[in-house]
Amino acid sequence: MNLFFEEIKLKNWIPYKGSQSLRFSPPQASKPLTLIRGVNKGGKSAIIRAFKWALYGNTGDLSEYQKPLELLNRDAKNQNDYQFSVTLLLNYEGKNTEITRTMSPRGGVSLIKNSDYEEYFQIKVEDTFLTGDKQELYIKEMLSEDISDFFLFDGEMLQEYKALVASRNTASKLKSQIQKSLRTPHIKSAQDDIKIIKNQILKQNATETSDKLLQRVIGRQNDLVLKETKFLEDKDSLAESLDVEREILRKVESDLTAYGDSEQDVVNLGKAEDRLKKTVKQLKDLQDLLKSQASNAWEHLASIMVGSREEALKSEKKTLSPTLEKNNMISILKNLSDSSQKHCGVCNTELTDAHKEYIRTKLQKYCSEDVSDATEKVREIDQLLSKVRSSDDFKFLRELPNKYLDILADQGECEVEIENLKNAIGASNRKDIQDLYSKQTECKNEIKKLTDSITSIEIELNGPNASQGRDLYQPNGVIAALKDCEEMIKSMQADIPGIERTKSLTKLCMDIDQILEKTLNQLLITASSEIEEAANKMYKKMTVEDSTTRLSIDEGFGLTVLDDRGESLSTSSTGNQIVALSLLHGLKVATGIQGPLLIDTPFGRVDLEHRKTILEGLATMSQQVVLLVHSGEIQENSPLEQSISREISQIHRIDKESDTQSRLLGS
Amino acid sequence: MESTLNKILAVEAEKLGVRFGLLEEIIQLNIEKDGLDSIEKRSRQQAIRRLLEDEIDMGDQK
Repeated sequence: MNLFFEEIKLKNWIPYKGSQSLRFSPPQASKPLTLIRGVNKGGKSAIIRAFKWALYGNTGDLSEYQKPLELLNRDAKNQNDYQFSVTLLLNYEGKNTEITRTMSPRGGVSLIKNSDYEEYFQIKVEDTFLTGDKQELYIKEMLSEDISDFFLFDGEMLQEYKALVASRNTASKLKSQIQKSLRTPHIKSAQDDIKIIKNQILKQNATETSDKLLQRVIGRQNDLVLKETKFLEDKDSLAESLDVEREILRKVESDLTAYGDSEQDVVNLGKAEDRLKKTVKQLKDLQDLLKSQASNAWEHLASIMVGSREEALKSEKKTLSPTLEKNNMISILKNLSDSSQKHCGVCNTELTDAHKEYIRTKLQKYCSEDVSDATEKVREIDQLLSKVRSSDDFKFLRELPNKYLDILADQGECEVEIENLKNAIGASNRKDIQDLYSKQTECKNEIKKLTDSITSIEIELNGPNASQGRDLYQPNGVIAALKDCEEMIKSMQADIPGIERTKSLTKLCMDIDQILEKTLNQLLITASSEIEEAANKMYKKMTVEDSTTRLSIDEGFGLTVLDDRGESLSTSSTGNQIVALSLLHGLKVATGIQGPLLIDTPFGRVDLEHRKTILEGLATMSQQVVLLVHSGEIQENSPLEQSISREISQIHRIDKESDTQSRLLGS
Repeated sequence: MESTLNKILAVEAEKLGVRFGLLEEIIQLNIEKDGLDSIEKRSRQQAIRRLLEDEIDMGDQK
């Protein structure tokens, strides 16, 4: 691709009121750099937006600068000048080309709204105006929107390249852009086309025959092809996601390894924290138990006191026995001494007065002795003894303090261990490592899910236990069933006129299918290594420090910076910028897509030390490199500007005249 | 078309005796007409089929 920009003309475009233009000098290998310098929010990004809008009809922004009235200069609007346009004059493959996109409100409308605008698009190549589809085709061939991010971009966007390894969604978007630049989606769709054409040829042949059986077989073949296509599409899409997941996992694991001992410390920390949680729970349980025991504490206390005197109580009970007997005797004597009693309650002997006198004398004697209420005393003693006997709780209570102390000691140990591990790991590392661990688990789960889905599709395709397609291909799979069909069709078609031509066509289709399949596989491997080689050359050129580091790009376009031992290193924002630009260079070399580079704020996140080396690198990436910089990035007449002055062909200026107006000033 | 892709395609085409130019044209058609629209898809496939038939006719003439 031989493309360079010659001039951009703006009319009422965002901050550029009226008609303004910038001319670019013809590209020269020795002086490829053009600087456009302006203050922040002065209209630099509006230039990149103008290029994108003129080429693709959108500014590439997601939330703003999309509607006509957002693109129209505000002062022009206030003066009722509603038309705006961008014209690009460029040279493509040696031909002068003029691309103009204009937005004008429909006539007869007084209060202009976004919906009142009409768009006019015009491409003139030399003296010929292109019309209809040819316009779209021309732009697509010249600089397809799919890959425009590799040519016209905001320097801040380069930081997103780190997402090739960090974020699933962004990685997929970038990966798909890279694949588009390598043409892999187009090879795949060509392969699908060939398959469809092959089946059309076979089907057509069948309709030309009156053989009902043959028609049925071909009908079945068509159903199988549909199934096969669906399975293969699903499998490809799953395999693509699997590649992305594996790449993310590889990177996550390599990042984890880079943390060295800290990685193991985080594992141990997790375990210690689990242990601590357990001890806290145990202590809580004991405290609850203690609380419930405490509500009956007085009983336990009394029992403990009685328990310690158990033997003494038993002997006291024995000593009380004679007294008990005495009490019984008194009771009997009282009964006998009763004047109403005529006979003895025990032996039924008739009681005489002499007997009664004797009984009264004895009764007086017993009652004069100590006959305290022994029965009551014994009952109390029995109650106390029974409590002592059921005193298992006391055993627990006696052991409780020791148990509590043991758990407290465990808790203390855990806390010390956790503190030590936390100190060893460092707070920020810990968060990073934990994030990596959760990402790792997430990836592993996703990989398992994707692998299972791919396996089940493969079973449907290749058998031997295909569970779907009961009458169509079960159990040996779609591919075997298709082969059978093809064999049957071949043998049935042997005597159909024109079969030789059909055979040649289907063989050609099969050969092309095979070639495209192998090309596709080989392309990803070869392109990756070519990209890596070219990217590393650029990486060395742009890096000032340790020359032993290098860039590794795998088949999934995952990026890693490796040290001399092959271990991955984390990168600063400057590092990310260099890695991204190196990858861009690698892609341009491997895909052969060359063209001008337009970068807005290329050094916003680059340290001073690297600006010179990056500028020198950029100067070798294209014959036309337009850099939109603010004065903080490359100061006017600074040593940095002087050091690269030999590579600079032009320096333009953007003057910010007010919040709503800027002016383009040529060099 | 692009260098790495061309190199690989040429090698694989030679292995099976298919003309490189034919493959290049098929891929080019896919680049030019890569919309999801089914009408565009059909017209692309018709164009490819014509290329294939011409290729067979060309072989017959030889």
